[in-house]
Amino acid sequence: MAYKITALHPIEKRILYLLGKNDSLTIEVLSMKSDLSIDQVRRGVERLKFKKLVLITQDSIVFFELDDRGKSALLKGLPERRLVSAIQLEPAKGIASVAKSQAFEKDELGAAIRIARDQNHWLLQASGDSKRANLSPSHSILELSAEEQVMERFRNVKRVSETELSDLEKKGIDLLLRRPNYVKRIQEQTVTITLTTTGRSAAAEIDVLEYPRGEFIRSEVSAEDRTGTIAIDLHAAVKVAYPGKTHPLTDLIAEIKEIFVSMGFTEIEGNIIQTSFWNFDALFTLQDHPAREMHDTYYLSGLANVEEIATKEQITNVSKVHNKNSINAWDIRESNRLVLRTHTTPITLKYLADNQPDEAKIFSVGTVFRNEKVTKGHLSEFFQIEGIATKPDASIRDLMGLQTEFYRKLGIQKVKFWPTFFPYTEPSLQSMVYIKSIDKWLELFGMGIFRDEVALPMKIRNPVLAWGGGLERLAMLRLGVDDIRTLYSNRIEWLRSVSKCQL
Amino acid sequence: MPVVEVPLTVLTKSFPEKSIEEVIASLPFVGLDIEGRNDKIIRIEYNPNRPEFSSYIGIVRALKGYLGIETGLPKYKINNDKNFRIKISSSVRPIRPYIRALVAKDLEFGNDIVKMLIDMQEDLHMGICNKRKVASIGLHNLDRIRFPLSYLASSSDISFVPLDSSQALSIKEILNSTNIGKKYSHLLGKTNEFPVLLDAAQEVVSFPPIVNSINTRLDNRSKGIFVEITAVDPTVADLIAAIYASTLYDMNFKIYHTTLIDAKRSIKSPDMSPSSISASIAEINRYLGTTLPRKEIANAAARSRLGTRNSARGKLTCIVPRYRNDVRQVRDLIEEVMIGLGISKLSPTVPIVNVTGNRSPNSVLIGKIKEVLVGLGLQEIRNFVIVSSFLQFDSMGLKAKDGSFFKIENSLVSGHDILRNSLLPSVVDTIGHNIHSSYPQNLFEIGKVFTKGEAEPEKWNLCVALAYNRADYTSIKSILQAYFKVAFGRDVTTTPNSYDGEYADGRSASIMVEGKEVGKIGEISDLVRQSHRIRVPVAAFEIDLSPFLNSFRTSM
Repeated sequence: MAYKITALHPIEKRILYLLGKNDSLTIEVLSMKSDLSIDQVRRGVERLKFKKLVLITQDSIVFFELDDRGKSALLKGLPERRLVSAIQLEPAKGIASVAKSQAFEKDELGAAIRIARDQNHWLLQASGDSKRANLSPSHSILELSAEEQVMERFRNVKRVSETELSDLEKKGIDLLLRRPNYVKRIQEQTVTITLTTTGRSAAAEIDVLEYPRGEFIRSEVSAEDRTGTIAIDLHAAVKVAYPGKTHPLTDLIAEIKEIFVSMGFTEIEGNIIQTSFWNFDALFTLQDHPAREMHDTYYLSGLANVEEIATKEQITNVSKVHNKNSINAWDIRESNRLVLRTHTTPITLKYLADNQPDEAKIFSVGTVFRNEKVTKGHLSEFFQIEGIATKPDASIRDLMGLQTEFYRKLGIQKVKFWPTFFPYTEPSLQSMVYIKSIDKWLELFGMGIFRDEVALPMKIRNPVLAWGGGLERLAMLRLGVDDIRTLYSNRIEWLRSVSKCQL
Repeated sequence: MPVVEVPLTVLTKSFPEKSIEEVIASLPFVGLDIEGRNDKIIRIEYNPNRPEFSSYIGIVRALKGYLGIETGLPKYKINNDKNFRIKISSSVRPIRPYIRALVAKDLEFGNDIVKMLIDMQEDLHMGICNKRKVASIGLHNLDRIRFPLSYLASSSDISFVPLDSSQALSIKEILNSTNIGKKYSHLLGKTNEFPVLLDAAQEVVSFPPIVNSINTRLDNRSKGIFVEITAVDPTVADLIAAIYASTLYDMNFKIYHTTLIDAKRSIKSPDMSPSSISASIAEINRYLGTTLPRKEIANAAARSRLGTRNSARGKLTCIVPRYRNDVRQVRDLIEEVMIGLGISKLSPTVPIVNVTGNRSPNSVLIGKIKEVLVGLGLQEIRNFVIVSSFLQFDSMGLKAKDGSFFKIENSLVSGHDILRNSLLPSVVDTIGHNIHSSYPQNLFEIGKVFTKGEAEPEKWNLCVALAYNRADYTSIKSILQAYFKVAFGRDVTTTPNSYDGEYADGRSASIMVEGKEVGKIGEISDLVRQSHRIRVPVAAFEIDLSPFLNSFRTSM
């Protein structure tokens, strides 16, 4: 089956094309012939191997290179040749003077005589005479020795592969190897690339004119690329892009605000720094109540101006309620201490006190604080969601109805209500909701009707329905996070990984 | 919230005609949370306004009402024995003025009962007694008490063998050298006189609120129990006495009054006289959203263990047992009716939207600003308002100016102690915590910052930071310019300015909009980057959003 050639990367096509012409090539040769870097070729070959278009074979190849004496012999001739040439030139001179004129190295002369006479039969010795002086050249001096023939190979190249040598040349190399410092034998590992059958048919389809040399290194996208004339690898992994995003909590807050607005609620806001008066006293938390202790609440250095805390009437009314319910006299010096609000309810209460609405639906989503150590399940700074509704005939059933509808809009269908206790509401309920994704009932928002001790000092006459709870628990459920600290870790990887739409 | 352990056998014995699961399933409907259970016990969490749930006796009593097995006001018969007298000296008035006491006898004690009573005492000490500050409870072996007792203030020389000790110690020694003494001595304040309860032989029975004598220790061989409560608040002392009396009575002990005699009068303790509240049927129905007839409301109140009495037309009077001081007003009564009725009987009403809702203008504007910033390719981050002064100042090469920022007086975590007065340090810190993530890291944060001594101490700020190998003044200014143009249609200019510390010299400027400075822009200095171990260049700006929030209009 023919490979679908258009899915190949230009680099891959180039390699295939070259292999089609040469059958098998090494990485280095491919790099040279293709104008691609070694790395580009390696990666291209790996991809082609993965696509079963090429085979990669690891071989060891033997090379020869001339050593010092070999290099000089290439210029001047081998010692035995120089010897016989000198004798031929001046046959009358004795060996000794010839040797002198040719400046043989000490160990060379003997070897030269032996090779010229015994191996190459260039010199003949008179019979019965063993003296060196009586050597005369033979006709064989016209023939090149095996060594000489193989030496010619190195005239133009630095190294010669063993596979390129003829038998005679191989013999010459063997002889040279026996002589010191003439040739070096080098063994190297090489990677050879050959085409598979599929590869061969794929290579045959490539029209090289489409891919002129050097084309692959360009960085600009050419017009042909855009029109799809030049095919690209549609499987290839691409660079990851990170778009700008809002924080996951921002998205959940926006969703919750939209639910409130859709139910006719209006958003209110207020300061994070509150006086103890509004954070505690006005909400009927007695001055000796444990919640006011240092280990639950963050107190700030400095005090609020006593006159600016609240109206005189509000202060008097609140102090009366406290004095009626505590053995300790209410003390304004406890009330003007500054705290980081422990709930958003002081904002709500002040809004109701200032506006005295006969009927109202308001909400807030704001940061609140507890002086606690941050753990897997607790933060010292988190968001409170709070909803408030008031009208002359507001009832506990209305509160349950608002709560049920709020949950329904969040995608929570099953809700149970249980009685509970909160310091500033009576009656008080807690809600249990069924979370489908984890198949569990969880306690979520608390709710109730403001106590008279809270409402009456602010001249609020109608029942005030209130409910609220933490935002982060909802976020954990929504995002599948089990350590609450993750939400504020600002780990970029996490922020990038959270999807906008939870499927 | 406090937790009480209830053996499952208690529930099976108390409700023979109900299945255990039915009993357990009804716990939440009387306001109790199931914290955990195994095959022997169930752990039940109760709310601090119901101290009588500190033993399973109180829980069973409420459940019997809710399940309709035993309804209405519980009746308690308290016996008299003139021997059980306590003389109160006026000398205790400035230190711990009130004492209440009761006697229970004629029942075998077992280990279980002793443990339950001690657990209950512990829970009450932690809760309603506010760690013994408001009141403290002593439980004694009645057999070892020689009446009449006297409650008086003594010098610190008086000595006795306290619980968990083998030798007699003076009050002084107890306060200075025993663990319990050191833990609670602060409750007595600076005084030379200490409250003690002495028996007829002038032996110390107890030294409230610190420790009892070992002589009168309650054990499983005791034939009777003497309970004393000393307090700074008489209502709490009375409440605890009533809780013990009702609990021990329901366990089938015979309960006796004690007679408390001071210079002016003599009273009997425990006081079990109930109180009463009248409420209009219409008001109860209005709050509940119901139209129930009087009889049904009375039945519901009875299931919450309240007595009911006919009163004027359209009204219902309820009798509240002495051990419940959380039912004081009409609204409390409404909650009792709601519980007795069963919350599952109250169906939620479908809300009708008859008023319109809006998001606040700030919330709308900030939402739009975020849209612009996201469009500029920025990732939002959220840091905490509370930071360390090291991060806010030192790590940014800045000096903290006293009085210009808010300090937290009592942070649990050292260093976690000021409110941020700008966002930039936390944003730079975030980049420093993400040096192993890929760049560019282009971030923004919108959040509140706090400046002490200004007319508006809380303001909204925006901070943008770019971190990658080519982040520089030009790239951040280009974002700044686009932000102002797209968000507000305003042109922004920058006036060279050198800021100490956070920005590099010659690479920072003031941000000017319509001639007013609204923030700073620049390349973060090498020193600051090094202190946050950041190796890439960082360029940032921070602006005060309040002028834009104040002039933002949502209407035409």
